[in-house]
Amino acid sequence: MQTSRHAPQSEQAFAYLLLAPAFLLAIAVVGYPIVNTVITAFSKTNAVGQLAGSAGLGNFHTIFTDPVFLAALWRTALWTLWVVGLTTVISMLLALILYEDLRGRRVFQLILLIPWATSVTMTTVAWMWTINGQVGLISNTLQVWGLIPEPLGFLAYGPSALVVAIAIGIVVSIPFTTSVLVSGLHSIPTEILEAGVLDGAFGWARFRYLILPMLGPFLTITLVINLINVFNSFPIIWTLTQGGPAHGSEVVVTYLFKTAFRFNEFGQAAAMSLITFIILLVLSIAFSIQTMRTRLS
Amino acid sequence: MKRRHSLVMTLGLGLALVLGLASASTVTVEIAQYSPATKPFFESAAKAFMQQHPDIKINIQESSWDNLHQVLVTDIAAKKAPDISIIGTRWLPEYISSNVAMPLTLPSSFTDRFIPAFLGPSSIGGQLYGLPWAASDRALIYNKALFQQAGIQSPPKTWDELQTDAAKIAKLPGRYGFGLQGSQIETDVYYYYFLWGAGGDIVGPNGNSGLHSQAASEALTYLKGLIDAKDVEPNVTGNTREDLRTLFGQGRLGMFIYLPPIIGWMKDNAPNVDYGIAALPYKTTPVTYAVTDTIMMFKPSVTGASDQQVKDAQSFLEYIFSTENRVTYNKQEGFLPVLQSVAKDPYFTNNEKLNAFVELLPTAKFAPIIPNWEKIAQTTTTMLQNVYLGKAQPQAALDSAASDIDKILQQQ
Repeated sequence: MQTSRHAPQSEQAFAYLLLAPAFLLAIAVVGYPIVNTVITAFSKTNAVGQLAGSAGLGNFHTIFTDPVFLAALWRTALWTLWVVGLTTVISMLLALILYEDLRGRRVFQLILLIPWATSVTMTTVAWMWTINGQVGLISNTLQVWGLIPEPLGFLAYGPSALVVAIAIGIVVSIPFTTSVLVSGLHSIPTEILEAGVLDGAFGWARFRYLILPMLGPFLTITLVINLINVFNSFPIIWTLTQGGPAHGSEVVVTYLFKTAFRFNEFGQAAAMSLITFIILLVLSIAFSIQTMRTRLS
Repeated sequence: MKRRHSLVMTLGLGLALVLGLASASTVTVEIAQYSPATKPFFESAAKAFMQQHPDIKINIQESSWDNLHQVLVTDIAAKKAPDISIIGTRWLPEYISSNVAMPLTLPSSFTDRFIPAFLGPSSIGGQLYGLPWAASDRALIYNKALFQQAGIQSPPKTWDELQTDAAKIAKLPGRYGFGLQGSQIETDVYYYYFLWGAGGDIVGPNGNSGLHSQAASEALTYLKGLIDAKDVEPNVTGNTREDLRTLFGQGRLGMFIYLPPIIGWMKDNAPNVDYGIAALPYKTTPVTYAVTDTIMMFKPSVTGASDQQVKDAQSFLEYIFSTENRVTYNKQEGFLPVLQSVAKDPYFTNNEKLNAFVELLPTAKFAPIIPNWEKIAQTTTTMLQNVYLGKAQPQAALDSAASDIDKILQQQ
């Protein structure tokens, strides 16, 4: 049988020709915004976003001397690590439960998928009403029971607002992550697990030495995709607090949005996008290399 | 043979369509959503206008206030700006400095119909760049039942009375005295009411930040005092202007500061709460904050409009300011009249609650029309939130914000 690797040259050339339009389109769609962002990041811009000469490294200097941006960058790291970390742990537990031959497993799987089908903004608004300090379910219930003297203003303080945002971030990330991990579990050949049982691999040992290594690629996929999604996630924090109070729940994307569309500093906003783009690119490449290495070994 | 025939017909039809479209001039109007009734109002006005002018097509596009600034920036950059747009008046300086705002040359018979004060904010350097679309000012909204229960005879006129009355209401179980806004849009404005009331201003007489002044310090110390004495609702930094409105509608808040659309909102959402409207309590200077949103035209360099389209856009602009259109619009949205003829309409002269807002206009202050307004607003808001949260002392926070704002003012 002839594999594509050994195809005659003319056939290969034809294949590239057929791929060309899609490839060019992809380059245009992906490349144009990147090139545009890079150019803007090194330019001065006027109030309506038109370029007005070179700024050199001026925009980068401005954002890296801005304490709000630096704090937002640090907060973004915390926000991403907490959401992705806890999502992975919880999803792994859920996936292991759903992998067992439970009664009503399909129903649970369906329930798990429902939040995925709801828009993130809607989910956030629903939670916002639940935790609202004055009329929210939680605060009101605790007050009626006499457990707290005055309402809890979760969104009135930066740290507690961020905790709420992280909790919502986890809730909306679980369906995708669990689904991928459940598929991963189903892809593990049952013979291996059965052979493991014969060799005495139960419980933690079975998970640590059999399941986890074989789930590797699936875990990497969820980690990379969640990392990028959460790092860039705008709707949850914007809907809850718009990054306030006093920038206390500000992350890079919310500050970037304000910098561009409230303060009209498009050059600085582009510089911020470029920084996040580079961070995410480096992380994604590192993860991919790691996976490839594990696979090769 | 038959097939070719139909092809010719299709081509001919297509050509006719293209020519037909080319001969009708299209005017694009970008509007901001004030209420669900805003777009239907513009659409029916456009329909009536198009019946009178069959050669003009009016295309209405709507954005939310949260998105409008971003939508316009994107459209201007793409040279696809609307011919006419509603804007926040504070954005006007950036459009003028970027040379995309069209100076309006309108007959005095038209401009004379406006209440003069409302044309001020959109005239810059003696040139008119826009017309006031929605005008409002602010007043103290108070719950009459709670006032009675707390034994208060009349709404507070001064800061001292405000604090005393708020404390009395706060003693009632589950009730809050005065609503102080500490979150999101216009958190800074809520503080300006008090800054002005102590005789201060946003920009000082020497062009520096008004936060350097004694008045700024007095106002912030006063508000922080209200928080510390629990005369205001708890968790101030979690409450937006609309959160305060919700509390007031539930009958749990003694008083707060809001704008004329409160009248329609209370009627729809809290018809059982009996409330009054009074002037803002002050220290030395009676004041209210007046705001106009502007409707303006963009230059052909960013709209791509022909001379004819510009003329057509201008005639639609004049049309929507007919007394009839404005009466319909004002009734529906609950804003203050901007036309003298509308102010004389019986609906407004007999509307006691709306008149309470109108009566405050002689003391009105407008926000200064300066570039970088949003940066100043954000700096002030962050400073206030830090003080409200107890993370910063009023004077230190004011000093640091004032010097930041001085730098922003110098950027112009």
